[in-house]
Amino acid sequence: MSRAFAAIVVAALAVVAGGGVAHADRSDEAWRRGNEAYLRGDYATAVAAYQQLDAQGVLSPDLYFNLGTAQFRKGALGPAIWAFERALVLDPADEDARYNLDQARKLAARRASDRIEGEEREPLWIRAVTAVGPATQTWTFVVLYVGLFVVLIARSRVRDDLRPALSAVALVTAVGALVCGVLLVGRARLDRIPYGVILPDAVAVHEGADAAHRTSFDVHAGLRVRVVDHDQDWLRIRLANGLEGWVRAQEIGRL
Amino acid sequence: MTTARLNILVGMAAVAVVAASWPAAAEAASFTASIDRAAVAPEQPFLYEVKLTLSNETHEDFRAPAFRGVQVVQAPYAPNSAMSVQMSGGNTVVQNTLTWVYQLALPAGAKGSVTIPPARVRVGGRELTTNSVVVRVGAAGAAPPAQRPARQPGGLFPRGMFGDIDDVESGGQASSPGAAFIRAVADKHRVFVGEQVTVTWYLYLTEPQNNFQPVTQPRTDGFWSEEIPSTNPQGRLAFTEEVQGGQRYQVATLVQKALFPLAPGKLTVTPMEAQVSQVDFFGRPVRARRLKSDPLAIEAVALPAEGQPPRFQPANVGHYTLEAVADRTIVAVGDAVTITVSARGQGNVRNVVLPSLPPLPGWKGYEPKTDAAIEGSAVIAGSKTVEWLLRPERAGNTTVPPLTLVTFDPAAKRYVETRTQPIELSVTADPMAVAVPPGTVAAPAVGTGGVDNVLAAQIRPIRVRSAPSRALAVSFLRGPAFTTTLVVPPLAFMALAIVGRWRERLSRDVQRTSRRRVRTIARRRLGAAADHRAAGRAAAFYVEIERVLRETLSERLRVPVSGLRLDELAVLLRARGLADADAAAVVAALERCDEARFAPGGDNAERATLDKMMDEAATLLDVIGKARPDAAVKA
Repeated sequence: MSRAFAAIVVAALAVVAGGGVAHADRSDEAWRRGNEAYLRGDYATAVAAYQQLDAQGVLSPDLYFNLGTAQFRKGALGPAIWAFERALVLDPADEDARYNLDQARKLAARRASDRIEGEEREPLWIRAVTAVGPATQTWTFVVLYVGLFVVLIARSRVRDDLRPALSAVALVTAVGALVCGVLLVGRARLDRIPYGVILPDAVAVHEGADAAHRTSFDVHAGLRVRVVDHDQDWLRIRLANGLEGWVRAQEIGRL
Repeated sequence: MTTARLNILVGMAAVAVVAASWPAAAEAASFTASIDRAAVAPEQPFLYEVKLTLSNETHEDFRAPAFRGVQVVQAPYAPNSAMSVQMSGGNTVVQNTLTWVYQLALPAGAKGSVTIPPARVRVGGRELTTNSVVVRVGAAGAAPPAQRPARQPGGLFPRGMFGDIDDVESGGQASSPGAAFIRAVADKHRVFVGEQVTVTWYLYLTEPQNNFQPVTQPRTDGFWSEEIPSTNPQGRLAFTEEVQGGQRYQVATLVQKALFPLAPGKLTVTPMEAQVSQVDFFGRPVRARRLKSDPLAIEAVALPAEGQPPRFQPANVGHYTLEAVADRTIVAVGDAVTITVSARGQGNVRNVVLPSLPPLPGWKGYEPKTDAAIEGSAVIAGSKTVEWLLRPERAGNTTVPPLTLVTFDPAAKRYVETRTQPIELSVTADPMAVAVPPGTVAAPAVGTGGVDNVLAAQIRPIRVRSAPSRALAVSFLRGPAFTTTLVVPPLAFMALAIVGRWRERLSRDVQRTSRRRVRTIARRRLGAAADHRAAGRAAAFYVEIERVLRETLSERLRVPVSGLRLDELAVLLRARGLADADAAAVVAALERCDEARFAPGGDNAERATLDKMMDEAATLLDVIGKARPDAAVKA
């Protein structure tokens, strides 16, 4: 009985591992194909390969960095800015992505730039949450959280004279884990606030969710906006100063 | 009053109300399209006019028709607008007329007819469409002269019935001596197509008036119109004195326009109509007069075909200089260069067609950005600029060829070609080798004879790794592993606590069981010993006594004592907390058992000795029970 159970477990693990390996192989092949296309100057093929990885759900700062760079070379500044922003969401410390994002924004501004008058600052909690990257937040929390329970377990097993010291360590660890946990909750909340980037060179923002509605204002490639509502294929966007209007969904790259 | 008479009165009142409101009702928005001639020869420009008439409404989202099968020579920058005010029957009807005039031409070899689909516009939330216009291909012909617009219906009551307007006085000359009038003056009456005509409307007054109200703006159909801004502060009228025919007049410039004919033919500028009045103590206009200028006829002459270069654009009439500059000449692959082509001069600057940049192999061009700056003066002048954003896709040198602007100079009556200088662009090969804003330095490249190795700003290249790095933190955070991490530590903590308590309890149970077992064994062995004692088998008796002692010791101490020497056992018992005397007693009892077992004639022992040994064994079992069972001791 126990042997049969062990055999089933081993077989299941083998299937899962095999699937994972096959998936990784496909991802690596698309990655390699994209890089090779980029290096020979075929930016359209490179973009397609990187987008294939994106569609597979690969979460990688490298992927979005390369995608943004290929889009930039291809001349699609809006999608390039979107991809660099994605890379920075995953890794805010990615200096290469930040540099290329600045370059793309400068180039876009030479064609058309949107100056948002009366721009409001982000709320304090958003600035606090985004001050540290998700990796640092996550791993710090995990270490402190797991460490807290390790200390608590150890405390229950040591001599009585060591317990006060371990209690103090547990208290400090608990406070640290609590702070990191609050930041992680804030990040989860922030992830639920949909931000986006304007993809085409110029987009007419309408007063309603239909092209027949009057154009309120125009925005241009790379502008970061917040998505506040949707109606079929239309999204209502809000600028940093509260100005709102409707655009087609395909004109926004969701971050 | 009878009911019948009352009904008649009510009916008359209703008819009067409807009739009085007729002008407004009749002036619902109209939206029409027309061309200026019946038949058009190929390549002959003609005018396509879209006219929108509105009353107290605004328009939006004007969409020109899709001009398929015709060439758009000129498109309007903005519609011409005219406003008319009609007062009659106590009603005031304000009409705005917007006119979009396109200069079109049929392509060479066009035959049959071409249909221009409707234009569209939204007025008050509803969409209006014009009629389709059929352009029949035929022999060349001049445009018919512009028709003087028919007077709008005046409503139920005769104009001036209520004394609001004394008279309508028109013309370049006063209709009666000493009367006020508006005069329209053109600086030229015969011009080339595209050449500027400056038309000025002057107000002549013989006595001071303190209210001037335009009623109908002149229409300039067939012209591209630019209003020349007034130099008077806040648009106030500035009067000068002038004597004409012995009459002294106060003269003010009302408006000045630069008109550019769009097609050859006789064109008409319709009259301007305005009302002047004095204002009484309460601010109400009194002694109002309606003034009206004469229409102006302008003859537009076609540009000479002789000597016309093939690349000439009909809108390029005037005197211009052309310039092309690049914001940088050395650029990295993927970076951008802006080439600015600008024409500066006099003429219809807003409409001038600048030469296009030819496709450059290895360069990607973006939609150009066009801008025009008009300098307001009697002669329209300014500059038009087109910015081309280009990005090189491969390294190498590229020459932007000279660009040519062909214009017609109406003063010299000849065509003029203006050329720009070629622009040499150098594209560096290594995208990594570029970095810096223009102006940053650059050490001369070795062996380049002093050529500046300018390194321009560039993006950083892709990451070529065997596999993309994964955002493990984000994947972990969004996946089930994070939930597991949250749940497992507290569960583990609780599980360990529970297990600890359980083990403690179990341990207590084991000790109790062990003690019970020892007691059972001891009882059984002592019972067996008692049987041997009763049977007189002393050797067997001592064997049982030794066995019960050793088994009890092994159980209590959790150490098999059968392999221990007696001195080692004594040390162990002391280490487990027994007093020296007790340990010695245990060891002594075991020694006696050994001696009695192997002594010759052991079975002959006295009953009293055996009884004493039995009692001592029972006592020693209690002593052994005092030993600690769990201390690890090396013997």
